[in-house]
Amino acid sequence: MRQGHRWMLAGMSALACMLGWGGGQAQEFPTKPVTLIIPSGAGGSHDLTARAVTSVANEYLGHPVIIQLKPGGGGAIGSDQVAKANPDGYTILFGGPNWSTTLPAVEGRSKGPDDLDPICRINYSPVMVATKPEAPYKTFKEMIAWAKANPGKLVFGNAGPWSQADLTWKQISRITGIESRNVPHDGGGPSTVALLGGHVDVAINPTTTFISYIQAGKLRPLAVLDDQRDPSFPDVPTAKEEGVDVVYYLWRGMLAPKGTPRPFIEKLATACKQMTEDKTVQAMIKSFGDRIQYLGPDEFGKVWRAEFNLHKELGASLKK
Amino acid sequence: MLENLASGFSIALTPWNLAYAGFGAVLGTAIGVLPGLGPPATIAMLLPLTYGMEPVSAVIMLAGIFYGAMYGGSTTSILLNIPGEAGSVVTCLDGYRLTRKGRAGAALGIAAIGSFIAGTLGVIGLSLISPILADFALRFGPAEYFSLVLLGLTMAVYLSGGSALKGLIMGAIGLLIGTVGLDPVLGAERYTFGISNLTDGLDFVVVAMGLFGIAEVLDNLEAPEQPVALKTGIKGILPTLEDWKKSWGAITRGSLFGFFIGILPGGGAVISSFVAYAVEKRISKHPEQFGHGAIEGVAAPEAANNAASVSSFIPLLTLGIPGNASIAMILVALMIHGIRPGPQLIENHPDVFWGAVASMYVGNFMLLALNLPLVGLWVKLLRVPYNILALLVVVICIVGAYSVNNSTFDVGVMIVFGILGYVLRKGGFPAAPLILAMILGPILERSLQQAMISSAGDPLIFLEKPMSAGLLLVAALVALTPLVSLARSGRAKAA
Repeated sequence: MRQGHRWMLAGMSALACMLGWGGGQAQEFPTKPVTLIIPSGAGGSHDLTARAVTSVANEYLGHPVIIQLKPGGGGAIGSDQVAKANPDGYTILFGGPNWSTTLPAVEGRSKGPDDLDPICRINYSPVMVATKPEAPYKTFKEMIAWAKANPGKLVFGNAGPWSQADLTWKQISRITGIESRNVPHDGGGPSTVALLGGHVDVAINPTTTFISYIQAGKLRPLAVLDDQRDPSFPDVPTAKEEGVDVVYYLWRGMLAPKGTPRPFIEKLATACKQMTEDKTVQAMIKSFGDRIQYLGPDEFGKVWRAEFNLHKELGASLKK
Repeated sequence: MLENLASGFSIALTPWNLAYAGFGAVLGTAIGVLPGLGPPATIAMLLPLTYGMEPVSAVIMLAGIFYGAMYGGSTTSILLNIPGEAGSVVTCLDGYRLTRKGRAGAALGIAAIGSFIAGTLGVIGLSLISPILADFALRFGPAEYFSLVLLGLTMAVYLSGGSALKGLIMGAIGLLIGTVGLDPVLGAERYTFGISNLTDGLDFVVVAMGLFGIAEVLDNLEAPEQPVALKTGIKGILPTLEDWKKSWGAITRGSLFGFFIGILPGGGAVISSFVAYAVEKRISKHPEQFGHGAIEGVAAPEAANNAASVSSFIPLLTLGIPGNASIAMILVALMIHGIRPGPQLIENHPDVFWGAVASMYVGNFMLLALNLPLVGLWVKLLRVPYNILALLVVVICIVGAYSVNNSTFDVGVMIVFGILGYVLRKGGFPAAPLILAMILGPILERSLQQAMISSAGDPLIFLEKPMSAGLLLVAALVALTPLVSLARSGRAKAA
């Protein structure tokens, strides 16, 4: 049934092409494969998600999406390349908060919403605060109280300067006034190892990184930094519920060079939406421990801009 | 345990899984021989192939690629002085000298058989004591890393052929090169000159290809006649009894170093190959032969990097921690099948765990069977006239440097280091200490910062942790013994 539907669509679009139907640019776009630049390394969550979603691109876009990895500079190299590319819709970027928001907002490197246009958000992974089960604090509130009673004693493991963990921990510290030792790590994997080995007391990482250790009883979740609770952890409160309003989306989305014509953006956004609704794609995303949280160009643009402004303000106030 | 292993073999020995293991091993050997495109990128490209496989088959194939690359990585190091993989940088030192002496076959043979023995010892260790070892890896915190790396650096001097002072100078330059990029605490840019390609630092495989491969070609171009070794034929194709006598101890010790240091996430395999080499040179009765074609200088690091490639699976299979980029890709392959390696893998998916372990035994045999016959073929390659071979070396290096990050910038970096390497050779400055320091420097800095931040600035943390204190003591002994022997020989002369 679904197969038949696909063939019919393909047949109709072929017919439409032959008849020169529509005539507008949007109907003609795309006439060749679209290149998606991923500015991070092979096998990261961005790479995996992009490959899963675009695996069915041919069916919904009419042309395949070619993935090109351009790692380096924390994502700056690939982002710069797309920002400079011809805004014809054929070169787009796989964006993420590190290289598309924080780096440009805080360090002025890479490219943010001033240089790129939003197409859509595919999804995001919520991040979580976790500790060892034997820690003297059992909840997020207790951890804050403990840190206040023992100023400068709590050892926090971040995932690199200005990573999601570093940024949110600094936010939490600023709101609650706690003092701690903020130890840098080379990514979320190493900070999780440090937490498991007892070298740090608390760490923040995507829930997907922590889940197997929580299930095995090796780690205790304290709070989720999201608007709502994570369906995989219905008992774990959000930080907001615990009185500390810190939210972070580790998002993945499509971005285009500034000035890409609106009809092309919409065409790409619609195709992406259909790809994320494909059953095989949804199954793959589920196996990574994530969900689809699609946002179209306008809504996503607003969320992204707000995030950029927040990080800019945080960067200016925390950098001292 | 034995029942589990037996059931693992019943999975690994099915025709399909044997075929996957064989395919992985062949492909791994091929990418190991060709520098640049490393195992992580290859595994990433093949990931879609595994969607339709049984999870254990996927692991068997991908693991085959990973340890196959470790086997193959030594080939270009020995034949052409091009280190194909990080773990085989040290192999260049004596492996290529053996080739120049017309003993390429012996070097390749020792590398293949040493790898086999080390790999097998590693798998035995993996099946016997992985849970205990996983716990050991977790206890290794920043203070312990710092002390281990400091110990590794004191060994840099043993990597220099001649003058210890020149070795130390090169080590210091390597440390400086290692600081290029973002600083680990604040993310501030250092020595990047606003070039985004430099913000991640220099890739040491690219630097090593320049310092070893390109510099060697430049050096040879000066000599009008062909390098002697490259004209000699097949004779001496396999290791002699004499080679065996010299090597078996090196292989055993190399396996042990590789196995234990390889468990540590982040550069364990590379560090263990340097340590194994330095230790052999230190305890050898003929340390002066090292750097001029000592067979032990090939046997030890090759054994170490293969044992390490096996033991680096331990944190993944017992804790779900990927120790390096290749292992991280294998983790991804498992996750796609809904298996999340972690503390419960052995209980929940014994078939995956024991099937993978058993396939490593099988894969090691396959690699030996594949590589020994290839030795003759590789040696024949050396009969190609040098003016053509030199061109081949340059092409392999350029393609290899490009494919590390898909970046032409890296090709430029490699050429610059090739010219630099040529100049340094003329001055008698050894390249290996520079590479070692360049790899270890960033780990040293990060672990120092981590330890000092978590102890709120108290340096006693390095002595309060017993493992760290022990490693520091060994480092002090290693650093001081040459002084003592120097003083003793001075006194002897005076008397």
